[in-house]
Amino acid sequence: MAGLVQLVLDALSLGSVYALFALGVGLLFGVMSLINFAHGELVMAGGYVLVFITVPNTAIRIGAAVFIVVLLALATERVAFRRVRGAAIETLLVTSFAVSFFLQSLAVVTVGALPRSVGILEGLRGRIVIGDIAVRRLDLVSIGVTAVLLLSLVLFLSRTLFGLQMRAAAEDFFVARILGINANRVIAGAFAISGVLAGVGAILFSAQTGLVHPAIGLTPVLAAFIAVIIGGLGSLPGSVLGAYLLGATSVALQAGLPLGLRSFRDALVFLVVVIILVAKPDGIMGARLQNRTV
Amino acid sequence: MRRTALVARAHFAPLVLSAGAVLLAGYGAIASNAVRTSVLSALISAILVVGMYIFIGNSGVFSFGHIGFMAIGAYATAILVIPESTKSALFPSLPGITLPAHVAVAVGALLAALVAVLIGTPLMQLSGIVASLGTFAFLNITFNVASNWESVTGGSTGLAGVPRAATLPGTAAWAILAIVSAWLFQQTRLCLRLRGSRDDEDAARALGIGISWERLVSFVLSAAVTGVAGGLFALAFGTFNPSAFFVAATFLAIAMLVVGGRLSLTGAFTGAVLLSLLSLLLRQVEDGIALGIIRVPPVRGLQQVGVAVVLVVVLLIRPRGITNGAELTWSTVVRMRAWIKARLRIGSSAEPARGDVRVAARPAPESVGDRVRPHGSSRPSSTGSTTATTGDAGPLLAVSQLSGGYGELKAIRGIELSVDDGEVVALLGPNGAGKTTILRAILGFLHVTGGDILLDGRSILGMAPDRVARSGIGLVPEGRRILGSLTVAENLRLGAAARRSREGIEADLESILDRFPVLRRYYRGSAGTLSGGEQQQLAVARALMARPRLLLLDEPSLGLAPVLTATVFGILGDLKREGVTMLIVEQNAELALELADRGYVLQTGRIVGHGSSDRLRADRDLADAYLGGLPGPGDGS
Repeated sequence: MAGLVQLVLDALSLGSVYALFALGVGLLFGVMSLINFAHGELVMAGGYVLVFITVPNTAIRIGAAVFIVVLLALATERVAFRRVRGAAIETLLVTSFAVSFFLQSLAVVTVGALPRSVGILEGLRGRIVIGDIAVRRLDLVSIGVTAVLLLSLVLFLSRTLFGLQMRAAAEDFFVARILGINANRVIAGAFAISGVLAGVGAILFSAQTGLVHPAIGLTPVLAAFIAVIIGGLGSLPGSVLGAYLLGATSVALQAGLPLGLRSFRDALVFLVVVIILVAKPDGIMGARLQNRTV
Repeated sequence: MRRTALVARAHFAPLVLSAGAVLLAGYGAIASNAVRTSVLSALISAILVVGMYIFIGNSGVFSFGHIGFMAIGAYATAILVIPESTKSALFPSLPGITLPAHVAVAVGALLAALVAVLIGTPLMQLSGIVASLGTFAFLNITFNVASNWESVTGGSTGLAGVPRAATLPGTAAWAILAIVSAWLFQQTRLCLRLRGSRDDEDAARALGIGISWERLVSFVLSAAVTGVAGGLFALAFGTFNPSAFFVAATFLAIAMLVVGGRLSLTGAFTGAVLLSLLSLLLRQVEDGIALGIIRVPPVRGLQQVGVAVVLVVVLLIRPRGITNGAELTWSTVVRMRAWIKARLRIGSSAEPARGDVRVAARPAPESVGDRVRPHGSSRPSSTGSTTATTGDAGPLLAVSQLSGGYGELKAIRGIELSVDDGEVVALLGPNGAGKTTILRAILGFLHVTGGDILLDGRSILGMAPDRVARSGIGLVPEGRRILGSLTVAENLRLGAAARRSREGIEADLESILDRFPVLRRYYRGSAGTLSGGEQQQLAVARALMARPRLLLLDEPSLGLAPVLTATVFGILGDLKREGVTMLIVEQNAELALELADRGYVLQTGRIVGHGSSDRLRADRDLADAYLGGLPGPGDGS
């Protein structure tokens, strides 16, 4: 029983962090058809901010990490993605791949390729004991923080005019423009939100792994891609659902596989993804991709 | 003799590229040891990138997984060629078979092709972008397996002791084989179908053209060629580990393909060779170089940064790469030769005739003030209740000498038209005459090459579409394009997004809901569930929420049943009586002329007639020639 509760919590905790990454990727895809490989490097940047800003006040470090990641997200939009806006989806894809690799290489050049340890939220490493169940505090915090962020995002998108404009742009960018919705603002807004999600994700991810290195963004971005694909490209609820499914599958395989096969877990997760896609080629909650010209 | 020349011209690109491979190998043979290794690696890169091109270039779908196939080729080849003595000493778990080196490369390629069949069969069913992400996952899987399957791959330390059997001539021969296979493949009918689907996947699928099979075939062939590159890589370097086949290699290969031009074989080969040279250069800087007395210290990762910068720059300024997607042909060479000759001649005779060219160009634009009244057409006195918002009584919208189009194609030429405040003007003409193009130009979506568009005397040319909308131009788009995932209420609220002042929005909403009772009924419902006629009403209502000074309507009757068309045109008639200024594009000329005060007739991008609605209706010649006869109301189009 206690083991099962712990497994569920593990799955929820992992799924929560994945959900943050998946939403960041899904949101940008919705608004400008961009599959953002560089989302992983935002997570990396957040990790390095935590390494280099070592004031004792955790709130300041967290704030700085989120703030700098948002700035970086906006900078990638301004310098690279704005110029290819409206280009073929493949051009956007390759541009983001190039930006991602550029940031990664830049990190290698400036801070070196070796991993560094990140000390953040170390107070949450302990466990809370309830009856015969010992729960990691960090898991609870990850689940809670994600829930709060998801709820805020839902409220923002459904209750504010800016959120409404963002949804309109995500559905039909042409119509958004002829209605006079400021395209630059909406897209910059989407990048900023995606930066907040990446920044918070970076903090939780760093707290879980305790390490940061230039290629650390690969795991988050891969998780986000898989979550977005199985959830249905272009559907935000789908992305979240996909993230939790991915978390659950990973945890289940980790627990259920014999020891010798555990290192092949990721390969088996991929197999599960392929099976889901064969059954539902557009993802679990996917709609056919809409007309996204202009 | 003649025939040989013709064949050579028809297959010019592969001939030149093969010759390039031979030249490269020849250069390597006479150069120093270090350069020889670089040349060998450039040739292997060329095979790799040509392999990737077979899939990416022809299908238009990006693959981030091909380095995985390269890994399969490399590991299979290595396992099959490592001598038994080394195997028993270092890798006792490996099978004891050994094969001749190039046979092993072929087996490795077959294995890569087999894996491509397995993963391609599900992946190629998916839409292009999802398949791309799937290949990225595949890359991670091969890395994961290579790093952990210790008994076969040697885990993260990799394999060693592979005989370095990759010679320059042998590698050049494989490169030529890759080039010729890619070339022959792209001549096949199967590949032509694939290339046809490349530009518009959705359209191809909508027409029921299944392209999964074509994609799979090119994916498998492409994996095999990539596997060859992997096998040669193992034979060239002797030792390797899984990190050689991961994101960095994927990135470099994709950069080569995109920089050269992913849509042509010429581009793939050229990009591979060029970027191989560039990264060789950057690697030397990485190791630190001495520039006179200044010593540049070694910088790790510089090579990657450099390649990334080159790739981003190429994507921004020339997204189709250096070759711009074209193959090298005989006529390209002839043109280039002529161009160079012309340059040389101009250089020697001090650029003649420059001034003449300038005189021949269009006269300089007049001052804005002069252009408020763009042409002396007989404008009928404006109907409706108009109080001009500006001091003078110039037209609300004045389009003068407007030309523009999509890419090279000029869709409209020398368009002159005007719309007065309170007036309803129709744009008529057959399909493809450029009616919608004019609307797109007014809205700021078209690449305009000449002329001007004035709203109230101020030019709106070059404004971003959302700014045009905010300056008072609304659109009811063709096909309605209501936002189906939002509610009716949200669609209407978004309509007011263009308004500068938030005042009066609630009052307008009320009056609009009075005018369109059906929208009140479904106010909180999803707009996507409305019927076609209801959606058209919503599209009009949404545009009105912006209180536009000029309302553009694109084919409002399209796809509507006659009864619904009548309803919609009834509403438009009401709006006209209330003084709403409209420019309407409509296939159903009879309907449009009933509503409009005036009309313009377009044919192949030019205005060929205009006048009052009565005059246009009376002019049977004009009607027959350009409208294909006046259809009765409700005939639709």
